[in-house]
Amino acid sequence: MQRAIYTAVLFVLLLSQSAPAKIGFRQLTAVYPVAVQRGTEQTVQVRSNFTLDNTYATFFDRPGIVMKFAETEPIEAPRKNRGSIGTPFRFQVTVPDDQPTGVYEMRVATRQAVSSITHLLVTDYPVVEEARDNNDRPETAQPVSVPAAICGVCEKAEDVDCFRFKGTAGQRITAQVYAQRVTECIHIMVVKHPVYHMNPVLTLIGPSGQIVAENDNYYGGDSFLTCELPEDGDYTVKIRDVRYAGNEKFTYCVEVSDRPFLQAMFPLAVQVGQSIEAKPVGFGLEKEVALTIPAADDRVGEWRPVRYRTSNGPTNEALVLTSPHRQYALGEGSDSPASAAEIELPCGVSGRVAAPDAAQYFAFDARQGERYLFEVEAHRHGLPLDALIELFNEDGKLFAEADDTPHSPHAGAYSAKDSRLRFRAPADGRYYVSVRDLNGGGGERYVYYLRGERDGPDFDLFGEYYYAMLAPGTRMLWFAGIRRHNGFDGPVEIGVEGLPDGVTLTPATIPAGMNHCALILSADKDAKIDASLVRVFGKAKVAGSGESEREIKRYGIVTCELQQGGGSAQIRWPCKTQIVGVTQPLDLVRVEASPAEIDLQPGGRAEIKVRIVRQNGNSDPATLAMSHMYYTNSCGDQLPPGVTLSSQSRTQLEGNESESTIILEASKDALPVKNLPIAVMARVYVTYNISTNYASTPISLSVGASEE
Amino acid sequence: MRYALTIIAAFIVACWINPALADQPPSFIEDVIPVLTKAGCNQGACHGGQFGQGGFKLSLLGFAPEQDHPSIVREWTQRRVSLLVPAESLLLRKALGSVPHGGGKRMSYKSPDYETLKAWLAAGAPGPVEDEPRLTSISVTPAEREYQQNESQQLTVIAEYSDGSRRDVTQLARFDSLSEGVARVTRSGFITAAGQGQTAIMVRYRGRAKVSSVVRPFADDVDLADIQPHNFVDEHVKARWQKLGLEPSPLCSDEVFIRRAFLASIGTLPPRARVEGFRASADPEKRIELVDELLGLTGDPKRDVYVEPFSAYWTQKWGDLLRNNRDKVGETGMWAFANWIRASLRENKPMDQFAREILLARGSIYQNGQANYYKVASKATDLAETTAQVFLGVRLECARCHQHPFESYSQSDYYGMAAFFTRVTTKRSSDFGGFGNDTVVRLKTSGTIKHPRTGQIIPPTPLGASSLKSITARDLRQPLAEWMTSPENSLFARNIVNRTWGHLMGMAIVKPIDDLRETNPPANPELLEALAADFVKNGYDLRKLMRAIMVSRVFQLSSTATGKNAADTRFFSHYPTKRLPAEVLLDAIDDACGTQERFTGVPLGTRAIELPDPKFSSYFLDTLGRPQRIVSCECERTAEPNLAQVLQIANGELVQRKLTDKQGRISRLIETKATDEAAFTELYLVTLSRRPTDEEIDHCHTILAAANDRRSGLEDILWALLNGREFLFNH
Repeated sequence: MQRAIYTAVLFVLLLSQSAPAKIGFRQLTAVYPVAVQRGTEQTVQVRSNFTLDNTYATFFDRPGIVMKFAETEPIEAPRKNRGSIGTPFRFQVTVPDDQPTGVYEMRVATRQAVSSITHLLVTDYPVVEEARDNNDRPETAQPVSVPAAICGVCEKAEDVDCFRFKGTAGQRITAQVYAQRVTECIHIMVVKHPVYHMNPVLTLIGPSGQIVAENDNYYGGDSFLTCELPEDGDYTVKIRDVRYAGNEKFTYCVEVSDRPFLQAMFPLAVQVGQSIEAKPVGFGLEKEVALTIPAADDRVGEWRPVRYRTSNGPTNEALVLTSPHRQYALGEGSDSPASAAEIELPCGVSGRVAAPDAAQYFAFDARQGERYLFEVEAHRHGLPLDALIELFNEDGKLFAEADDTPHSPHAGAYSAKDSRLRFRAPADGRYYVSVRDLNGGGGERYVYYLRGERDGPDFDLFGEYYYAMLAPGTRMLWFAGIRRHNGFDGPVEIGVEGLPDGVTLTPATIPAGMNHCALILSADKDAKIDASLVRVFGKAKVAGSGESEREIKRYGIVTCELQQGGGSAQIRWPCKTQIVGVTQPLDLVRVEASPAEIDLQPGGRAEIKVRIVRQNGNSDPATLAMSHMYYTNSCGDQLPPGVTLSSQSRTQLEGNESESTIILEASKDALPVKNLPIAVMARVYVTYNISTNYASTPISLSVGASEE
Repeated sequence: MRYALTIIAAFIVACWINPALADQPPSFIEDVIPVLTKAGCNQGACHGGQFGQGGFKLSLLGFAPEQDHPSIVREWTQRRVSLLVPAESLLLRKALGSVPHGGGKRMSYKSPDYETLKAWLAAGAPGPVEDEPRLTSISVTPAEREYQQNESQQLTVIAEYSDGSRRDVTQLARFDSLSEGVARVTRSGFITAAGQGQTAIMVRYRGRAKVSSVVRPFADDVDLADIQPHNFVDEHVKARWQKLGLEPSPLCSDEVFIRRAFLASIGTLPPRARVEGFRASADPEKRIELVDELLGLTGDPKRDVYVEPFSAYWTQKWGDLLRNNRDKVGETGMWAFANWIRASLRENKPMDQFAREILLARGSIYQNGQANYYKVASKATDLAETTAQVFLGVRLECARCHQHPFESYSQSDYYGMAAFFTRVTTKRSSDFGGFGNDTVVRLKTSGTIKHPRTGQIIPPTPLGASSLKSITARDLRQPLAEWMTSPENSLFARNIVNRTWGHLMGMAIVKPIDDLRETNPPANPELLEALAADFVKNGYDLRKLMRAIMVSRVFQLSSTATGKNAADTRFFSHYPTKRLPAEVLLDAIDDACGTQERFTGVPLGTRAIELPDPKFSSYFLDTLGRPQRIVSCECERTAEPNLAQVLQIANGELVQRKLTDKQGRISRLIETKATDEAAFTELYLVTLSRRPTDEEIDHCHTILAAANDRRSGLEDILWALLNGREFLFNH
């Protein structure tokens, strides 16, 4: 009876709503102003392709910020073209006093869809919005007071924005731009090929018109400069894109301050239960200061922000790690194998490459056959070191080195500058690990944190995709992939934490010999409209000490998709958030696949009948697939090695069609698997290269089962 | 008498060295190859070409004797030699022209060259001897001499060997005059002075080259007592004038000086107010003070207001040399490189540091703009050529395939330079976002280069120095950078000095400006050395170097020649005039017309000298010779006038548009109802940086009266001024 009532209600809802065809995720394109001062409330505009009407929730990658939809009337927001700048929607943002500063990922959930990613900067300084008219020359610069977080837009080609403040001789000014960092995960930032993100240049012009300081790139493409002012008078901060490119999506924030600028505390880490005497590293600091920093015993393994007050005002925040392991601090020395500091693993080392082309060396004893792991953390915390880890034996022979760390197999463009080195000791003995800057840099600010520990069977997990939309009673297909390390070949059980009520994951395990699987998300028929940030994780049993086993749990490394102009170029980029939303009905109401079980023999084939049920009025073509392809690039796969989708499959369903048959083929050497959950993916294209994806009812796939 | 003694000496020497008269059989390397070289057998157009001639291939100019010997003696079943009857050898018969020979007759029967070859054949045509003493240097006597008209001189060339022995090789050496108009030289090294001036006789023997300078004064007597040097520059210039019998032109007027100083140092016309102020000033030091202001050397931010145009202008020059072009490095890389150069010039970075930072560049090409040097050229060989040419003024490319014909550089030298760059590589970086396309220049831990002929690994070797076999530096480029910018390496300082002098003075001391080889001697060697020494002493400070030149008397001479120096085209007795570079000219037209050219891709107000690469569309700039930055040679910027340029300025759309601009100068003159004379004066001041003469004012009145209306009359006057040499040239 209940089901009948629900169906009737649903039917009425369907009839009463003129749901637009091709419902896709909301493409957030820009936030203006892009910064909010902590401890304040502010209205911001979030631009979106496709309407944000009926937004009921916003999400940030860390807790604290409250952001509420502030529009009261419906606003249409059609996507005009691939590079569309979107339509603005107002939101009210409240940031608590104690909110850590920095860039946050932000997502939006509407009743119809969830969004892609945009960013919001939490700043220490009062936000000043750019008065856009006539601030393109130093003579007509907009007056501001220091400190300030100046938020503007480099809105058109050849745009230059100028801001004027009063300075005094000897005053240290620090200015940094957030532009690339507050747009790096935006789905489509393209202006014209090859221009993508804003790449700012920051110039400080003195009272006589002379250039006092200038910087192009410091934090990636974002500029940073600091200098002592040479004389009293009016100074102008000028910002532009280095190529004089411009676009409404080129939002930026310039933090201009006369406060000390902290880049790190040294040492960078403290062992749990202990405290350290740390010295600040940065600009305009009172360097004789030593601060006692206790461990945050309830946040072991986490980097937490610290700051301190100076006679010139409070510093910004730097990060300090609370580690469970022994810590070493070597601010200088250890610059040759002969003077290498001895370390005992597991441990952490706070080090410094003190001079250009220098390196630091650490000696440790290793046993034959044992595996070890060293990893540097510096670049990810805004420190200048581009780490190169090298490993030498006692004879000084270099036999391993690590430069960048590749991200996920799908994020081909991304490689982290912080290096990770894994090695297996070929013999008992003393080994030396060294850290240097790849580019020969060195100096006081080239500090880093080196983690060293025993290594063993392990895996990295990659979660694909970064959003999911499910109407009640429908399914959506995600994927998980793993990269195995140190001979690990066991099964990995995959789960998703934080799913909205009524959404479940079909139990999934990546079997031995496979490195990927389908994550079939299902929304109950009575699931309420809701959304939440989720985390994909994997658990596996690996060999422990002796005969024992231990369980390891790894969270998914996630990527979002970035779209280049022309549509043919898409890359995947690291992001922090995955969102799952239960939405109003979408274009497809149901995707059914049969049979529910397939037993595929090596060399054999199996048919899957697929039937799609469309929402009333929908007549869009649907494409059936077993993997998530973007042109010829695979973004996610689920079939075991040796099992493929036959070219005889009929994957294209026209608008007036609802049934088709696809065929799976197994090669003679296909990997045997048992009861692997798979689903047929149905894709309805929102644009010619962006689709909303649906999953069929799960199929339990076995390969070679009857032969066993 | 001198002539007779020379003849006798030459005869004695000739007898002494004639191998036919000696006991030893002729050496293949020391005797045979030089004979073939002197006869032209192994030059590029004959058997030394890439594919040889008539199936007979020799190494170019005999630089690979171990290859040449089998070619002569073994190939084609020994058909080229007859060891039993040497005189019947095809080698000799072809050379004598007694059998058909595409190259014609190359030597005479029984000549010393013939006898040398015959004696070598008679001795069994021995090949190169492994432990034969190695040629280390040659010297030529006299190295420099002053000549009167038709006076002669027999040159003597002495070769020195690794065992300390010396040998007269005059008869085996090749001689070429660099200016036949000043001096002629015979195949045997006999010089006859001809016209006035200075030139050099190039002497080449076995890959070594030297010159003998010939000075033929313009006048026998010259009185330079009244010429008071302003600084050491003038002392050396004056000494050369004395030697050459040249009397300089007088100092230029204040108006000419301020225009010249502005255009030469910052590529910009002086503003009208600055011209009038300068003209009115009675300060005897005003020229020096102006130079200091233009170069940003006053230390007062309120006076150092030309630092930006200065750094923009010189960024363009260095951008040309370093081939900064988005086609090579992408748009972002191009801007990063340009910004780095400009920042370096803005902060007056010492030029040795500037060069070192480029040579040792690593990291992101966006973050470290100078790293684009390794994106513009990525092969070790290209980098060796570019580095030698840009920073040392050495054109090394010939030595890639063979010994440099006019220099002492061999293939080993070439690949020795290239070896420094063999460990440079690039990788992608994600630092600039998903579509950032950043490139990181990094070092490999290994990498070598082989001699293409011998297959041997060539150790990194600076030009003209010993190889660095025991390099401990992780970066092989480190010792190269140290050597290149060390005070002991005169090439670096001389190169920068010569380029700077050339840009400021309109003509370099060594021409072409980036060809500092020994066989291309400077117009004034002492001046070049003194400037280089001063440059080194001042810590490679570019602005101080420019100051030394600009405050000198020679920089301030009138460009109008006098009867005493009209024939001089090389010795700076009057200021050499030079057509304004394309970008400077366009900006000058804008300044004169009160307009602003719009370049798509940069904000309105960006001047042509500020454009970071040649990809900003401008037909005017391209026509007027803007280089496309394909090669690292200043010659890519064409200063030679052509019809298209003349038409562009006389009838081109750009000039016409600016003359008739509704916001332009003519419009403003009309709107403000300026009097005719005030208008004429303004037009002269903004174009020629001077007031019109009475006669010129009369001319202007005439033009105005003949015009249909006042506007077209003023446009005609401004058009005429823009098309005059006084405007188009820095003079």
